[in-house]
Amino acid sequence: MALIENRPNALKSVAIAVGVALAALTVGSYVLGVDHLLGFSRMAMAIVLVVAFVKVWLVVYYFMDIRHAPRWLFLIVHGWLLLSGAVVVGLYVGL
Amino acid sequence: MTQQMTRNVPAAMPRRAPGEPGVWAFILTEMMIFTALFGLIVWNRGHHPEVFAEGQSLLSQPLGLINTVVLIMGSVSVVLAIGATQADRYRNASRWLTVAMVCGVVFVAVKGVEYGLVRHHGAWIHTNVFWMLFFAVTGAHLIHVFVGTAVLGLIRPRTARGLLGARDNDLFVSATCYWHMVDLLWLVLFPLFYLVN
Amino acid sequence: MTVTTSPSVTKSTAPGLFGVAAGGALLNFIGIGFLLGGFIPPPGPGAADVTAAYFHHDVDLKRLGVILTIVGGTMFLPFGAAIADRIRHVRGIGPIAAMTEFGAAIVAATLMMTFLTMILVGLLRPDMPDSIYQVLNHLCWLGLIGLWQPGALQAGTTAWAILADPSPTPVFPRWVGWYSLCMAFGSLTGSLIPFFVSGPFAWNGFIGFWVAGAIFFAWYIIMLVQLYLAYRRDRVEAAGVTSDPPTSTFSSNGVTRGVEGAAK
Repeated sequence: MALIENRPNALKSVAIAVGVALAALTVGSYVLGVDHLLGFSRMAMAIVLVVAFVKVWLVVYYFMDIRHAPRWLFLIVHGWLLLSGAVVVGLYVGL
Repeated sequence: MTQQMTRNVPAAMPRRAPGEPGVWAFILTEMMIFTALFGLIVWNRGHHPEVFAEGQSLLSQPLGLINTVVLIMGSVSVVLAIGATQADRYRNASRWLTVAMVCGVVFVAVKGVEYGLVRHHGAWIHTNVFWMLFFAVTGAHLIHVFVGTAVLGLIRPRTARGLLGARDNDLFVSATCYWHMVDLLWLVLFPLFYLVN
Repeated sequence: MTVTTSPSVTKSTAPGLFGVAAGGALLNFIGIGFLLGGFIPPPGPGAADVTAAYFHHDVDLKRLGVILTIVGGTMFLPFGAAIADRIRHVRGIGPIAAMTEFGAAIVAATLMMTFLTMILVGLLRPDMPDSIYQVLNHLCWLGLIGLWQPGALQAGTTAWAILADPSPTPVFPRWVGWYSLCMAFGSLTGSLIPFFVSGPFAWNGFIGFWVAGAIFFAWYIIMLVQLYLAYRRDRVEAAGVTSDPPTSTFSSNGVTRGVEGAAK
């Protein structure tokens, strides 16, 4: 964990930077989804879904500190992320 | 990429799973269950697009947005709590946990308002497939928000006292990981129900 | 390091083997029974005529399937006892957790015996009104799949015992305790079963049967593997070997984790 780093100031910067990124991506997706900037296109909606999983990755990689996790956990969590993203985006685009 | 990230890690220190390693059995299983639920939602949306469009129009996107931001704030708070414990500022850490718990309570309150609003329009689990999934899945997530908030509440006193027990530090980190899981699940549910049409 | 009883007592390995045998029987009899009975998935909360049709085809095969499933369900008793026999050693709450866990196992076994007999009734009598078959079917599956509480209690008390264990060499690896807790918590999906006659949350639905069933059966498989590993440790101790067994749990900082690869 960032426990291993033991540099609380670095952790604080990461927390705020990632938090801001998450909020920005959320508001961006919201605007895309609600104001239909790119129209009602499936492409816009697919982007919204992909962005959602990018946000999930940010939480997992930085907040849960998977970036410092042992290989088995790193692989399983990223595998889950890819699987879930594939299921959601795949089914959305495919159906 | 991981090599760069571990530059700051002392060479002798092994990579440890965040928190108590066994808790990941719990967290990963929950994540897999929700993957099944995500698939269920998208599959049904594909087969019943009009029902989903109609249902979505009754949802309050602004309230959904607020809830998403609230959970993100909660996640930032627990990371700041971890940072505080690293600087041995345990009372401070306890306060950040309280902030996160407040975020959880706010989420529940907003959800209550939302449910009330849609119930007022006559929507319920038996109305149609969209509402069945909405209430069941966001309801299941809501239970997780309760649990996540409670778990933070359980670890908070030990945090304030300095995480002295042998397992305390690991359980503290695990509790934060559970919270992050609750947050990340909503990050997917929000666009699935509220935005995508 | 892995001695859990006083060295002067020669520990019998028979109880350990008992649990493994019971677990193996449980999984095999229920598995084969379900296959033969046509329970994968079971007939749903459907219309009376559709349900009645189930009771009129492959009747003898289904009777055999049900009987085998009941045998498998009976195995919940010795399997639960075997788990209880392990967790009772946890300092403090061990005995009460063990009793509760075994109590839950008794209930689970009783439910299997009681409700599956209803299917046998339907299979025995071919000329009843369709609605009777429907009621029998509803009783059985609402009782077996809808009643998640006993299974959750069994897993929950097991989780409690494992996670409350202060010993540096715990009765089972801690990740098993966490998974048990998740299984108990995940059983809550069963709460939706009484609300739906169709769709993913019904007793034959994607979530109600497939996802919930997978998590439920995974628990039994995990516990069987753990009972087997514990039995192996007992055998090594009984043989008087003092070096660490190949699949021992190891502790660091007082936190014990299972060997992920082998234990799974």
